[in-house]
Amino acid sequence: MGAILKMQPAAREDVSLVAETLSGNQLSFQLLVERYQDRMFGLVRHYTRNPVEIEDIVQDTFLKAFARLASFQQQSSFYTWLCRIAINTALDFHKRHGRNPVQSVEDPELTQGAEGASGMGGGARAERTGRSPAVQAPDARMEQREIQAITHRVLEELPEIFRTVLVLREFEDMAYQDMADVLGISIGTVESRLFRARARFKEKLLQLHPEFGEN
Amino acid sequence: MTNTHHDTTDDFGCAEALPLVPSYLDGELSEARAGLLRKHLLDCSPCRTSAQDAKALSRWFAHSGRGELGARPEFAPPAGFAARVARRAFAGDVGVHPVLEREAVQAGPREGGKLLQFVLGLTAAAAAVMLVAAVALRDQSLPADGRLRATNQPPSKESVLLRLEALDRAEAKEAPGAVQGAAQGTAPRASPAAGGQAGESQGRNDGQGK
Ligand SMILES: [Zn+2]
Repeated sequence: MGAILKMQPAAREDVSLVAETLSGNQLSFQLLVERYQDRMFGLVRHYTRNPVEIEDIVQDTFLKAFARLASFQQQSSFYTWLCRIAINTALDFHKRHGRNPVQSVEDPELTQGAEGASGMGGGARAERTGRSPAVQAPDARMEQREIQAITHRVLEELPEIFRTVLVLREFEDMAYQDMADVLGISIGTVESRLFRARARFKEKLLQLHPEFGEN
Repeated sequence: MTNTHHDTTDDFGCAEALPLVPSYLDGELSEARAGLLRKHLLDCSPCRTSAQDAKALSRWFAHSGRGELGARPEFAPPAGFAARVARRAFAGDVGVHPVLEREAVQAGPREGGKLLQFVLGLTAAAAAVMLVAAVALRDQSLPADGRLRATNQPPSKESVLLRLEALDRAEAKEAPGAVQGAAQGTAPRASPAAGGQAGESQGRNDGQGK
């Protein structure tokens, strides 16, 4: 019980809602869904633009979470646990529909062994030598919707693993440790994957929109 | 290598500094290492430029609407979503749908296939629990029916199916917000809206605020 008391209030409430759900309280589960549904819709929209599919995937995410609720370990937050289920559900969904959600997951850069135990490995370092042009912050007069649309188009062009780390970090504002929990990888791998993902995003953005490069 | 960066400032040169820049901007460095890096950035203009480049990209994402989901209604959950998901969960729907069934669901009316699927999986006991809860949540949208609350006499699967179809129809007609209102009426704790806000602070490391 001591560990539970040390948690932040939101996490403590999650833990009680989970416990109440497990003891058969449907309303407690409904409250858990209400608490995280917006963020799950926000996460899943990075994997499909179709609102009906987004709803299906989020619904399945919560249903799977419910079915596995007894196995939820409190070492991770309920939210990161849910993210993990949501991402897997989104990728499964595409697989089942014979769609590749992304460019190839088998990204050539990844097979060069830059990722892994060495953390910020040789690949990341190599990309750093020789400076690539910087991205300019978008013009203040630009509509946010416009910027969002461009960002989403660029993200769609990236291999899924790069897109996922960017989404978790830049949109979900997740800490590295939480990203590591969600993805089941080490913090070193989070760092190096994020570094590479940002470099790829920038490259793709400037390729599609050279006007956003520095002069 | 045509690297103009400093290679030594004590033991902390560009080779040590550059890999730390992203973690630094992400607020993920310990104060000790952040201090070393800041000191290096003050002395080293190439590394400073790299840090500024990284910051520019981070600003780009900030402009892309981090946390601006509410502005995009097409990506927001429909009214009654949580109640429906909870009802399905307690009815035994585990959220794993084989390909063929999903195709059937998409071909037919949107909810019909799933409804049938989870009704088939119902046990009589689960059905009774679910119906009592569902009725409690939305008694205004259904005719009063004493038998529904009689848990010692579980309804047959056929009547469950009919009731569920009625519930889904009622839900479809329901005005936005009606379900949430009902949920708040019976909720013993803070309102879902307050819970959602509290949830925003989730998923952070205590010691690593930005
Ligand atoms: Zn330097």
